[in-house]
Amino acid sequence: MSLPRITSAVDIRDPAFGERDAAFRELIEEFTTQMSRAALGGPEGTRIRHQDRGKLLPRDRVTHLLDPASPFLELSPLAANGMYGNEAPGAGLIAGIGIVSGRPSMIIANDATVKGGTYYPMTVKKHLRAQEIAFANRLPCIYLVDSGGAFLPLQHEVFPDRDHFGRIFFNQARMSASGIPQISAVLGACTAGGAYVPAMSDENVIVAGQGHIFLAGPPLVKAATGEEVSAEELGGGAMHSRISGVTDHLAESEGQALLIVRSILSTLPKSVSWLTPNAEVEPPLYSDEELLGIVPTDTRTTYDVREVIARIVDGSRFLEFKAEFGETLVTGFAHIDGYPVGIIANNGVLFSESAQKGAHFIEICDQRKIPLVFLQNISGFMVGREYETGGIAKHGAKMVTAVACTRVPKFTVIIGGSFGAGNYSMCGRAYDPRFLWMWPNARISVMGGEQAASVLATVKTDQLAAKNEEWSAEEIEIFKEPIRAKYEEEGSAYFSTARLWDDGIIDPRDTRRVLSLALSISGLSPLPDSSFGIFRM
Amino acid sequence: MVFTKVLIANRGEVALRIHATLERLGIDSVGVYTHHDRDALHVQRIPENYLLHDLQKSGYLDSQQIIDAALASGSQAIHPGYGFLAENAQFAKACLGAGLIFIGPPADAITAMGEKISAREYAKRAGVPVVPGIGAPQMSNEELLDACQDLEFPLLVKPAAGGGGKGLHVAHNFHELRDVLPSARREAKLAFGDETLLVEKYLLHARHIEFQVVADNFGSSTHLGERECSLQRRHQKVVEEAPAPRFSEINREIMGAAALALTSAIGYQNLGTIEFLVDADSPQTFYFMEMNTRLQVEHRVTEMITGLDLVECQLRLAAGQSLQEVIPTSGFSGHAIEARIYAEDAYNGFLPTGGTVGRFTPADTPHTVTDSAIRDGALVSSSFDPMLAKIACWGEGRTSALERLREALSNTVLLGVITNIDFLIALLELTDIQESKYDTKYLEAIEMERANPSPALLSAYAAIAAGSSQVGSWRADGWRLQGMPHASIAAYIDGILHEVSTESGSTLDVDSYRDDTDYWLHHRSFGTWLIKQASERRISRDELSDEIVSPMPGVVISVNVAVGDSVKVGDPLIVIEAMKMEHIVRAKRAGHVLHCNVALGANVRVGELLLEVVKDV
Repeated sequence: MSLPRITSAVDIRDPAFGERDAAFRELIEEFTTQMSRAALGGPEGTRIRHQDRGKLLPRDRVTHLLDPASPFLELSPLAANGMYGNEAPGAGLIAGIGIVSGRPSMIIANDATVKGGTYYPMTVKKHLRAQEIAFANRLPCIYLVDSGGAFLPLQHEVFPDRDHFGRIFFNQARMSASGIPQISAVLGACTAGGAYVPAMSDENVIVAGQGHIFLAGPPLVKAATGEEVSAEELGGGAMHSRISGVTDHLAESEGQALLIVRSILSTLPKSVSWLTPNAEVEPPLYSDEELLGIVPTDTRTTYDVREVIARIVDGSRFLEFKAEFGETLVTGFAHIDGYPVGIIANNGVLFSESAQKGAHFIEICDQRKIPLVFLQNISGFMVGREYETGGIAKHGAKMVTAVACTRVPKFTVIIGGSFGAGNYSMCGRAYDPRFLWMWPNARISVMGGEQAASVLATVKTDQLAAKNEEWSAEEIEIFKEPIRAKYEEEGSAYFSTARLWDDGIIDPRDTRRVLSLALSISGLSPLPDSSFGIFRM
Repeated sequence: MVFTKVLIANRGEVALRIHATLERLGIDSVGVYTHHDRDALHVQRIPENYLLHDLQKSGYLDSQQIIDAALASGSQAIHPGYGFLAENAQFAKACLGAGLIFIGPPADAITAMGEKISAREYAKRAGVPVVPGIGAPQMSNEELLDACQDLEFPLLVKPAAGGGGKGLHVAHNFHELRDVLPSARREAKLAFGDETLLVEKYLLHARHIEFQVVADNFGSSTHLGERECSLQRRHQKVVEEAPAPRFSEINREIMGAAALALTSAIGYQNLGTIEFLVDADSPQTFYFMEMNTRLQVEHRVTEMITGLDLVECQLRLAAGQSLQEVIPTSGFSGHAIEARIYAEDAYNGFLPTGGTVGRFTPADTPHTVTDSAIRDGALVSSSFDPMLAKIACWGEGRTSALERLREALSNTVLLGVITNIDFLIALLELTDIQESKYDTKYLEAIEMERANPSPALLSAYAAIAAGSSQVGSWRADGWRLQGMPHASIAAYIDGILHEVSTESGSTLDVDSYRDDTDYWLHHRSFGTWLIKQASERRISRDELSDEIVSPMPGVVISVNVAVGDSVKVGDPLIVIEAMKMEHIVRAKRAGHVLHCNVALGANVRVGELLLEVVKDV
């Protein structure tokens, strides 16, 4: 039995549609520019030198490793964007999911053209996040290693803490222990900490004459002990494959090393997902191109989120749950590329009823093992005496609890604003969605810039009043302006994605494909048993 | 007809061809097969089969076993097909002796035409011109050389007992001739059991035109026109057509009369083919080459323009019907062309190939007949003829027949073995072929290079290569996030690495077959391609290492080399005594000794570096 279709009310001939479309396309253009720039990697001279040495650029390595024409779901390609003086495009690391020898795999590749592949704080964070995703979805990890280790000037942000460099190897060990294969190919330097990536792998490959693994390179050895030794003798592929046993396979070239990795992957057992898509997939009835003319670039402007759902789900078919109750939250069942999903989408500020509805719906999806997709566009929970007395805090808490405790895979797409506690109830980063993406128009902060400026101005006014002082409207405006500017900058999707608050910015038109790719792997890790029945809220 | 049951003493497509006629005529077929062929198509199609044991020779060449099978099955006659025993006079005689009818000419006619020197004599006596040449049994090399003084070079040296283009040598001058005679003799002896050689003038600019003759047992004979078979490589036919282009009715009358004169002169019966070499510039100059006393591979083209079933003609003539009964009227209609599909690399010196047929789908185009015995899974090896199939097409005229053949070849899917199909298609498109300007040297002289695979085909490959295992969101379309470069994959085609781009959503109607890691693709416009994925290879210790280490702990009792010495693979370098045995450490690669760490009498540990050999560059 097929689900009912959403009837779109969008008029694409409406001038307002055209204006929104033009405004959104500007955002897309900026996004495309940023992505293309980051995709290049390090400076041109460094890239040329890298290739002159007969080495492949990391993106080409990934492509060669993947099955012919495999899609590649890249993670956080704009990591470290605008940070470190813009010296670390993509944080010097390419991470993503693709098919290798028929198996969906997590690929983590150093970009040696970016500061020798050394780890900046965001590099570590990106590496750890990729491992986290691999762990959650039980994806074999393939490390294409070409890194000089920690970026020494920032060692204090890279080395000592729990989620710093050491966690990479901790994760390797723990994943291996739980049966998730850890494979690496040594395609360049693996110095110091970097040496442990191949060493901690289940099976590895090294390129003769090109890959090196050592705890300390020849210069440090000379400084420490006076011993003079060549890189090849100290940590070359021939030595490690024949004498130390640190490596398992010796390849004559990079291309061969990648082929060996492919053959290793082909020996792994194939995982089976508990999540099975429908055999017949119906594309959405409405074109995803229209998303650009539907979604306003200003997050304050309201629109019906069902218009977005209609352009993401199979056949634009959506079976709403509790359509008449708590109307500012839209919940319902649909399919994406054949996969069943429960969709939770904001359609205005959250009220107590919306929160209860959300909690109820999450419980149902959990019970039925239906993955959840959150389409987040939330300015927060409703404020005011009426709502506080109505217990909005406890109703909100129910939804937050449901989000936090559900067993099913969760996917969050921030399609507009993400402010305050709304972020929590709509499965923000802290609630461990399997993936979290942002649209280029998305904004994230504890509250809006204007609200923050007003709150802080009010606090200051109160402080002044306590001292029997006042300030002029002009002074207040001067006070508020930098606060607004700070929120403006820090609230942007680019600021977020640079700091790994998300797994990347995506074009709205890619939403369906990206969700489908993520859904397809989310069923590879088994669900624990549930322990409660459904509480009617 | 007197036959109710006939044994087919052959295999492959010709066995199927004969079976088809027998079946149509309501005559029971009996097949034979050897152990190798137990799963062959002819065994499956023919209802009754007898196993032939490969004793001293292939079972298909064993007259006695075949005659025994015929008798055991209650067959009245044996059709030999072509090849194997088809032109074996002893076999024809043995059939007669066993009370079986041999479907072919009398043994004497086979003998007369089977040996080249005697065939020449018969032709001369019948007034048919022969190529100037020398040859007689027991003639020594010196005698041959002497006799050849008067001949014009280049000369062609042939085994007198040979056939099928085997053992032929060309000598361009006296020296070459002297050099080639001894080896030609050895080859002739080895291949045909007779070292007699025939030396003939080698015609440089000739066409191969043959006449199909038919004779009954009562002295009547006629011919069914000619076939042009000049497109050959290694003296084996590739393309045949009827009637011959650029060949007048007068040429046909004169040569036809010559063919029939010879037919009568030797008392020929049943079907036969008389092959002539014809001067490519003046068709009135022609020479008798040889007579094939059997059905020809290319009989289809004659059937197509005459409307006759030549196998049926053979059966009825052998059954004693008169020519008048068998062929009451004859005439020609239209034009027919046949191409032979060989397992060979036509772009690489026509070298034979092999493999397993992964997919074979004959063309389903109008006026087309495909004869073949291959099928999916069939192993193509060098043990039998490299011909996999032959495709014959008929047209109202030569142009339409050519076009139909090209169309049929384009629609023939044969994956898993490299064949000459794409070469044939390209060949038929050449102006020289369309205007019929070619001779017997043409095919080996033209230089044709394979076009590059089309990008559309390659992107279809990319989609198929990964798409075979992935569907849904992971479908092979090279998808990337916004603004990222499109995907490309690496593949080897004809030994060249191609970067294959993928176009999202591109679809192409391609037949494909995966053979381990290689892909075979066929598209009717782009041809057939073998696409090899790059394959992995680990460096072995020996390959990388020039270092020679001690195989065991012991004492060095001999050091045979010094630094700088050149060594060859297998040269003894050092001798180590251990456990009362001497172990010789040999060079694993050629090169020179870079350094040597051991002295005589030294104790060495296992794995200790003894010396290092570097490869000479």
